[in-house]
Amino acid sequence: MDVPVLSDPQQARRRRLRVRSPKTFGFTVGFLVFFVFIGLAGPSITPDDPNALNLVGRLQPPSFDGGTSEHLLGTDELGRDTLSRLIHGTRVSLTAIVFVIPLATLIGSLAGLLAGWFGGWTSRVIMALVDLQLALPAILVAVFLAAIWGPSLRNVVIVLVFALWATWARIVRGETLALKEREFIIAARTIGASDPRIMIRHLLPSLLNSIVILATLNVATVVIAEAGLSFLGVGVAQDTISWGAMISQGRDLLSVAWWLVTVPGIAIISVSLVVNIFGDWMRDFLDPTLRNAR
Amino acid sequence: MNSQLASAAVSRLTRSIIVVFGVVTIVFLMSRATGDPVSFLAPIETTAAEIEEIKDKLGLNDPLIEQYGRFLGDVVQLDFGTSFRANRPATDVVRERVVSTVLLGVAALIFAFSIGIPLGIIAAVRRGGVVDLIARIFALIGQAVPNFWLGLMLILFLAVNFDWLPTGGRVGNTSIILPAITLGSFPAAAVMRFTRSAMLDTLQQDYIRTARAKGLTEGNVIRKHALRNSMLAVVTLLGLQVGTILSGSIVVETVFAWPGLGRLIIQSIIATDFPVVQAAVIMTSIWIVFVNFVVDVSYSFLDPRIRTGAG
Amino acid sequence: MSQYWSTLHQRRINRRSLLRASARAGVGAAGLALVGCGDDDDDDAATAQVEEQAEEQAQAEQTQAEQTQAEEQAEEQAEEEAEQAEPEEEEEEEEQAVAAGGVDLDAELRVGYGSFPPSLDVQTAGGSGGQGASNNRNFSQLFEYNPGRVIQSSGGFANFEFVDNNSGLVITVNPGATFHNGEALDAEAVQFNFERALGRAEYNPDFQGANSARAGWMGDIEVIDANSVRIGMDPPFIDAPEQSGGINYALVPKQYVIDNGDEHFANNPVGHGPYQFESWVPDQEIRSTRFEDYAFPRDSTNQFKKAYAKKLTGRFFPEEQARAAALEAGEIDIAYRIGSDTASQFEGDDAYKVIVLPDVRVMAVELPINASVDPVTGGPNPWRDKRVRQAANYAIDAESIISNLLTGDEERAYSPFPAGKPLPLGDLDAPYNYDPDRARALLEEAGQVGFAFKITLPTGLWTGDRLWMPAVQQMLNDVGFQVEVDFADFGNALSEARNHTLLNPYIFNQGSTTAGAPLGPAFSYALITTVGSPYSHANADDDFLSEFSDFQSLISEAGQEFDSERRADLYFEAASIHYSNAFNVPLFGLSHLYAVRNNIAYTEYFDTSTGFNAVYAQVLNT
Repeated sequence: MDVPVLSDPQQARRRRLRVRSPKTFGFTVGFLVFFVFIGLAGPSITPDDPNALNLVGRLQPPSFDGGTSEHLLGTDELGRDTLSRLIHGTRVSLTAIVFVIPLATLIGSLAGLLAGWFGGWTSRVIMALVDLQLALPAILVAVFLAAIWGPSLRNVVIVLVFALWATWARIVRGETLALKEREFIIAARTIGASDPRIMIRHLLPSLLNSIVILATLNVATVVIAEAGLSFLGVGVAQDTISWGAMISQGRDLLSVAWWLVTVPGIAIISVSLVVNIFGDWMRDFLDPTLRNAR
Repeated sequence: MNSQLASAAVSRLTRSIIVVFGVVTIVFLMSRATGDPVSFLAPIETTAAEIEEIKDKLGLNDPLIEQYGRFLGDVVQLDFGTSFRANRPATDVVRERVVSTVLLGVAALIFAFSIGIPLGIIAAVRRGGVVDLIARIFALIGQAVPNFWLGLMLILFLAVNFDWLPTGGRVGNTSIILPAITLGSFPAAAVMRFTRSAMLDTLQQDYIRTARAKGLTEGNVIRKHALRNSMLAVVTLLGLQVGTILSGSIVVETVFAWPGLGRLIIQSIIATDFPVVQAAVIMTSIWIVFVNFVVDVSYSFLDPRIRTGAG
Repeated sequence: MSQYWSTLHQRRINRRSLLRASARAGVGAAGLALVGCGDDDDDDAATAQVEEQAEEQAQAEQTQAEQTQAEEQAEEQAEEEAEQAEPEEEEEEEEQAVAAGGVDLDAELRVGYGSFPPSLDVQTAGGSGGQGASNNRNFSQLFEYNPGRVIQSSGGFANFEFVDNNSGLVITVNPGATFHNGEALDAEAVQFNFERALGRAEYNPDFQGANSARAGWMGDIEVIDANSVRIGMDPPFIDAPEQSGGINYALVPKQYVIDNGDEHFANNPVGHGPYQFESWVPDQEIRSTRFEDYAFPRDSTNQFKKAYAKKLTGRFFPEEQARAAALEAGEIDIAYRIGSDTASQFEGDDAYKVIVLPDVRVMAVELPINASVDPVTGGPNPWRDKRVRQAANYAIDAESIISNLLTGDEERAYSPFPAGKPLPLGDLDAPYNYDPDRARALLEEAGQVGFAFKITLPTGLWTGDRLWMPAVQQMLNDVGFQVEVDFADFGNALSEARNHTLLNPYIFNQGSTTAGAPLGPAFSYALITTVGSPYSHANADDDFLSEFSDFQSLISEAGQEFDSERRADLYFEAASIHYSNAFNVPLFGLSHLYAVRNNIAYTEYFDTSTGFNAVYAQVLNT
């Protein structure tokens, strides 16, 4: 089920889209820094307590749509400040990224490295697990975990690591197979370097580019997937403020209060879009042959 | 069928069976982690001793490995027990929903491929042109917009504000349009991206250059040579998209109240109807494995390199 | 929006004062009554009121009223004519005349429901949510609820009588009644039904009826003659009719069930109600047609009436917004139970109106007061401390929830009396009105600041539950509790509560007695706090609080008290213990909202167990 990786070495040079101009890049990085800052500083910079009820002042529109300046992005069905909730939600997205990406990278890269280097049964077992992941969509695993333990951020992390590690495993294995035939590896082998030493000292540095690119490209996947799972009620716990859960809560009020669904949706899209642009840029910069790595 | 092809098919089949086996094992382990369904289901006056008796009867006190063996046997017969909620065989409950989901999935795939392929081809051929730009923006955004949000926005604009299409349920012939578009949008972006690069790749090949050198018109080159070869790569994508479609359908069916498998799964989760969840998860996985197997095998048939053993 | 609801409010006040007046005049029930608690979950609006959404609508309403009136007159006239005509012609003439008056008797009535039954067998699906909403029109109950009578009364399909010094209940079916398939509804059928529900029927002893728990009082069930059945009772039980004649024991045809089996029956039900089952697609739609040979005419004086619309189609839209949108898209005529926000989108639109049906039951947080351990920590159960329970009561600003999240017409409830009843204050000097400071102080005094617990909310049936529940949660958190809410599947939560395996606090609607009427016999049953209640935390072998023991013995005594005045005294005493000890956290009586197309006329007839009863809904010719 491997997808043939098709390459187009000239493409990187022939960029026509302006999205990767230096200015865009600056904006992209700036946005990401902002996102991380909001996620980290979140609770201390929110204008309001995101859980504070204000039943009298419920469903106030954003200030640019006839609302007051007190609630820039309006209030929700219980009068809670949308902006404050959005900021708190950032934290969940960021937490998911912070746990999922390193774990998936670690597990996937290691599996790919072992499979590529040792081949034989090691490879077969690992690739069977990769196939398994493809056959068992993450969302089904999430559903199962939610049924067993109830929804929680921990489930989300487990599910997304399960869903994503195979990406690294496939690519890293392929690259390792190719690197195995290269002179410097063969040379290291002939002088009797141990397997771990070759893998860490020689293979890993060469694989690092691809691993980092994959990590960047999958950040958006994590953000969207977390939102999707929380939207379905199999993601974060019911009390946790997350963008997906905000959309889910606002759903019944779609035609009454457009901002409840729209605002967190725009947040998800902006982050995914910017992260993707950044990832594409990284890829082009580091390794243009990985174009179809996703 | 030559022997190499046959052995490739056999090895893929073995792989598929191993995968299905793995899925069943995972589901078994997860379901045993849920604790004990008997105390939940037993009526009020049941004593602890009676509960133990029922557990004995159901084999829940046997060693795990024995339970596993029985579980495998049941799965082979597609017997997943009785749905707690509907009081009927879980397999039946799941089967009733398959048609709706397949219908939606096929509609979404048709949408995805009929948008993605032409757009991808034009984008590749007129590289750097307006269509290319639009296509690439489409791809970029398509990957950033969560499908549940897209679905809600479609409802808001097309169904609520303009009253053009039904908002949900499976009524009439038009109710499939919005869910299919929602479900198909992400695959459409993927298909587009993939077609575009496959096409670009093909256009670089020597035989295309030869064809061009022979003086064939650009249109002919693209139609006769480039297209056919690129489509091979796109077929593989179909297999991968089946998984995307099936997991996407869980979300989309929830948004649009589409009475398919995905919504059944979510309902069963809320109702902690484990037999149905199990049946649905395992049967969905088997479907994905099966479709991928078929795609893999047919790909071997179609691809001359694999067919001759050169790949 | 606020203006919208204030319009309703004014009208409602008029109605309320009307009720009060009639109560004073000794009319009593004034058309209201109760159902035993949890008596089929979704069917509980006892009284109803069609309320228009805006003043502009008043005109339209008037026209409509005239139409209805005209149609009624026409019907009466037709009826009179029919009396002289041949019996076979009666039906036809009546219908022609009515049709001329504006009601389309050939219409299909399409209702969008938020919950759907998993099975169409009334005896298994009862209590699983959606049962009543969608197909209990296929069934009728044995006894009737009559205006002016608080409880289940003789009449309808059967009469009952307490016999042998109240040690037996004799149910006598009116001869001639049949099921839709022509099978006789006789003593055999009645006996079979109770035995089936109890798991005693021979054809399938494994049958698990949803309501076996509420039939614990039934002794031997014997057929006395062709139409009479005697149920033994030890001790005597005043609520027996309530617990045998309600929709929970809607009858199924014996021979049909035995011949075809339970599974077939669950998908192809045959009942004896005003609508005859036609077909269904699980979780999509249920189709029924009017039962033309229904035993009661449209003008019958009890709740049983022949249906107006020829076809009844229930469709399933679990999301409130989807129901409203389906209404707007013309896919359905009635959007069942929508929240006030969703209802407000129909404001000022002549094509729709909103029907508000107040629920007589009281929403409350039920507390596990007798359990000795806390299910979360395994330590002592903080709910045993009265101060903790009182803190929870003071924490909740029910008035604010009512005026901001609900329609504004709901009434604050005070345990365990129905909303709007005078308080049984007991030794308490003031009612539990919102007082967060006092709540904090009490919680601190009890040393339970940060007490973490989970509240289970059975979702999908109670209007606006996803709106007011988070508010209740946050209000509790604001005074120092740590609340987690489990938005549970309705049927699941109910079966857990029924099995007494739901150990944490949960939301339930306490069956209450009639607003403004004396405490009816079913009151004990309606009190979820009691040991005998089918949904309860209390087990007979629990380590009872001493106050609870007092309360429970009063309730048990009342259940055997056949003198209504003495019974009411016992209930009142029990209620003051309940109240002063804050056994639960009562919230409010909900109103249920239904958005309907403008050509739907709904004249609610007194019927406790229906909510919006499709049988009474008329599709008008436009």
